Amino acid sequence: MAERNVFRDEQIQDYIDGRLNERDRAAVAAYLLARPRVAAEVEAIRRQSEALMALGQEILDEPVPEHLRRVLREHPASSRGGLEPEAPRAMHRPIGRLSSFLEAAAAILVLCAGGAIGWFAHGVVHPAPSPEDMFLADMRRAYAFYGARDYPVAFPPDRAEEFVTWIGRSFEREVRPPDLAEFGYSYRGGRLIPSASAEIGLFQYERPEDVRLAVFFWTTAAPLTVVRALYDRDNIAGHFWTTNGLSFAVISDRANRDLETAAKAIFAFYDKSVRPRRPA
Amino acid sequence: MDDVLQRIEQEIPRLRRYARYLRREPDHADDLVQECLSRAIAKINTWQPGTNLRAWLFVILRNCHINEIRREQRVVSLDDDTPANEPTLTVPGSQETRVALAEVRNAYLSLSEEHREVLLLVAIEGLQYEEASAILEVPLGTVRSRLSRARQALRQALDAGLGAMTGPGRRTAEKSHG
Repeated sequence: MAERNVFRDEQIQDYIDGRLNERDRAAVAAYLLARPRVAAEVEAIRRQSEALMALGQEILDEPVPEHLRRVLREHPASSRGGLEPEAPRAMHRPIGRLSSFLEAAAAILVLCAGGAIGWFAHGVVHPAPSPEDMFLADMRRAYAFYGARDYPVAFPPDRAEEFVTWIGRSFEREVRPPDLAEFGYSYRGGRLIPSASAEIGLFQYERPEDVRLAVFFWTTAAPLTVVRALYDRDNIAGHFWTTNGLSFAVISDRANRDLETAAKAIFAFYDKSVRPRRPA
Repeated sequence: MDDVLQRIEQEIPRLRRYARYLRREPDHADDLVQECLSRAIAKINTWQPGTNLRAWLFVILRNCHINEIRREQRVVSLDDDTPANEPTLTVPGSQETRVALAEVRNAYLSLSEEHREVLLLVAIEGLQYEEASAILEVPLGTVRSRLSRARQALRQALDAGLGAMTGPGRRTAEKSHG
């Protein structure tokens, strides 16, 4: 292997990976031409690399799952994001783990009194074809129920700090209502909503022209940060995401064209301010 | 912005392949890609136009993976009965190609994780050493030497016929003899 001394292994490797300038490349090529044994080794590594490139090719050939494309289209930080009322209603697969999504959907279902329990059982016992439909439908009910102008809030704005303390006890971390004054919203107050699987926090906002906005939040086991735009066929729209073990849904009237902007701000606010749960 | 989003979208298949290698389970691999995409958009302003978008995304993906591993280490896993150290890289193609590629695949899987990852980035994804260095958070010289050793190890594994066996199993067998 004395002939290898002229070029170091590193240079041979640089040659294989196309990292040499034209002059050095030509020098190595000439060197290899005169030394078939080294050239054969180089060729073997080349073939090896070519074979490696085929590994996982079938993954590249797979169609990109729609739910991954939607992350790019619907993220609050994306300029393309947001709701597209004219688009056909697309049902993508629940993000994260289905069980945690169902858990969240179930939690919202329990918001509704009476027959809601039946729906809950239905969603859990049978495979839900579109958990998002259930989730949205019941989020809409909760939004309408608690968002009605004459429905009293448990913690009005002047008791905001007290509410944050209550939230801290239930959620083992601080979750504050975001200031949405720059979007024209005033904070109307909030409440904690007990449910079978988790407590849900609700901050309510309104604008003078009768535009309402609600921020729901609850603890979730889903570890990932996921963001989705939700819209309902009828009258509500929203954004949903999970970060640091806390899920958020920002819901408003579908006609509210500023929802996306507000959702971006709320996302940014909680992205910075939500800390992991305090150990018990 | 939309142009960058379009380019990110084009990288999704490669992110999925890298994630599949990192995460083993296809569903979790896609969760990882999803997390990566969310973060990429959230910090899109930190990407410098003119630099390699794929490498930038790989850094984010790998960080997501590391964070995920740390999180998982703090909780008891209830559902993971997947054999360890077995990335789900499968081998497509005709019968003959499959046999040849299956040997390469098994030889590849017999390598250490360190070697597999550097080969994935440079030999499979075609990234520059500098980019691999940033992704792996090791100096450039380390990438170069690690790559060289990885190639030698792969060559030896192929020569030794490790391709005929599943990699991790053979490695275990070798260790037990040693």
